[in-house]
Amino acid sequence: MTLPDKLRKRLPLSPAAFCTLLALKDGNKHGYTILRQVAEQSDGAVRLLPGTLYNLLKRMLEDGWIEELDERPDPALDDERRRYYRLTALGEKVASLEAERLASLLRTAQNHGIHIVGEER
Amino acid sequence: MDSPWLACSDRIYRLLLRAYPASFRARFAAETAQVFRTLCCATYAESGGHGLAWLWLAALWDWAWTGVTLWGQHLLKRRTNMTQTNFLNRSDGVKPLSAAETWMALLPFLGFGLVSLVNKLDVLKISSLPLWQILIIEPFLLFNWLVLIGLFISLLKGFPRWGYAYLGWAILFGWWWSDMRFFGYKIGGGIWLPLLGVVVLALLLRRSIQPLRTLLSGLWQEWTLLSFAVYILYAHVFMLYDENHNPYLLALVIATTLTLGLGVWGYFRSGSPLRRMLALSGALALQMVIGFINGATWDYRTYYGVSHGTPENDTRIAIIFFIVLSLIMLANGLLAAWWSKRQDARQA
Repeated sequence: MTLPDKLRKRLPLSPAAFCTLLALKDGNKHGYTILRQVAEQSDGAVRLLPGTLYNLLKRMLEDGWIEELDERPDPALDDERRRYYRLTALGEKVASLEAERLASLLRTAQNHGIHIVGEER
Repeated sequence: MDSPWLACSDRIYRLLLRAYPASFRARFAAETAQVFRTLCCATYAESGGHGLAWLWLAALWDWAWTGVTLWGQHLLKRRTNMTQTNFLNRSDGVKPLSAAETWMALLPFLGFGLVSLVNKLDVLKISSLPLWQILIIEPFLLFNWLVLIGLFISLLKGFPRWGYAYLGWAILFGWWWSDMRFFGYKIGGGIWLPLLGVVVLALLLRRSIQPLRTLLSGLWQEWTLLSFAVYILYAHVFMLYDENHNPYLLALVIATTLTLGLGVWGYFRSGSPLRRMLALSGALALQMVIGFINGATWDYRTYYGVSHGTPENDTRIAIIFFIVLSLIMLANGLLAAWWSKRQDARQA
């Protein structure tokens, strides 16, 4: 079984997990920034709270989708207890496969004549 | 964080986080609390106390749901770990004995079987001998001397694990003979004196109480020794075949000795408490079968003119007795395995 096949078995991702991966694709972030960015990029549709967020981050760390940065922020500029996370190549691959899956679903819907609200006909 | 509400909210949330599994708390609790605090500050600045109240409602649901999933992952992972590290093979830190050492532990069991056999054959005709000779060559007394010598050697060697077999038999013998009349003499508490003498002499020769400390710490470390002590008691009862006049008695004594010896071998050769208990229970199960053969080949009711009870009743009692004893032993093994698992987790 190839790596993409193995990763496809982990799909579909929950919206929260997918948005977290997307938030980290834009750059390394700490927990609170991830939480804000997820809310922003989903137009408020996905609102994470700390428990769910760290449960997700914990599992992603275990699976090697993200990793924690060794560097700590400068105490003068940021809270030094904050930890920063980075998307790994594996995490990016998972996000890409999930996006591909969603795109395929979208195409199927369009082929069935489903009109996507907000898009011009 | 100026508002007392925010300070209070922070404290309560930290308290709630204590409900999560320790592994999660150790790594993520501080961060989770910090993100919640920042979120509270931002919400309070935007929407005041009203917004904070709504945030708390959502946070409570999030806290409860996250708790359920975290504990689910934690427990399932534990179960997986248990299957991977077979619970039956879980060691409690007790080092299995080498073959030579196991033979040392086995000797008193084989010795008692042999003594029982000699006693049944009555080849020594000791009743016609003077008392001082009887005290030396009476089979059971001779066995006790040999057990005490074994205990003495084990104490001199710093009390290796096989020493418990000799200690167990020495205590059992003292308890058994202290209430016995021997050619008209009441032995009483005096039977304990040789045992006490052996311990004191060995400690004096070693000039250290280290063997005694090893003995006591071993009892604490190896809980299954309690079951082993019970096993010695029943081994003694089974091998003695007291008042038994089965025509195949000698074969039964030999079979019982070998069977119970097999249990001892399995017990001392395993590092897993459950396997040790299974070895002892297995031997007792085989002994039960030997007991059934004894019952089928000799009718003690007719021999002694006993009118109450039936053979079916005897079988039922034997099976119940075996089940209860085995369950107690297995519970002891499970408890020791669980305790060792807990200690490992604590150290990790």
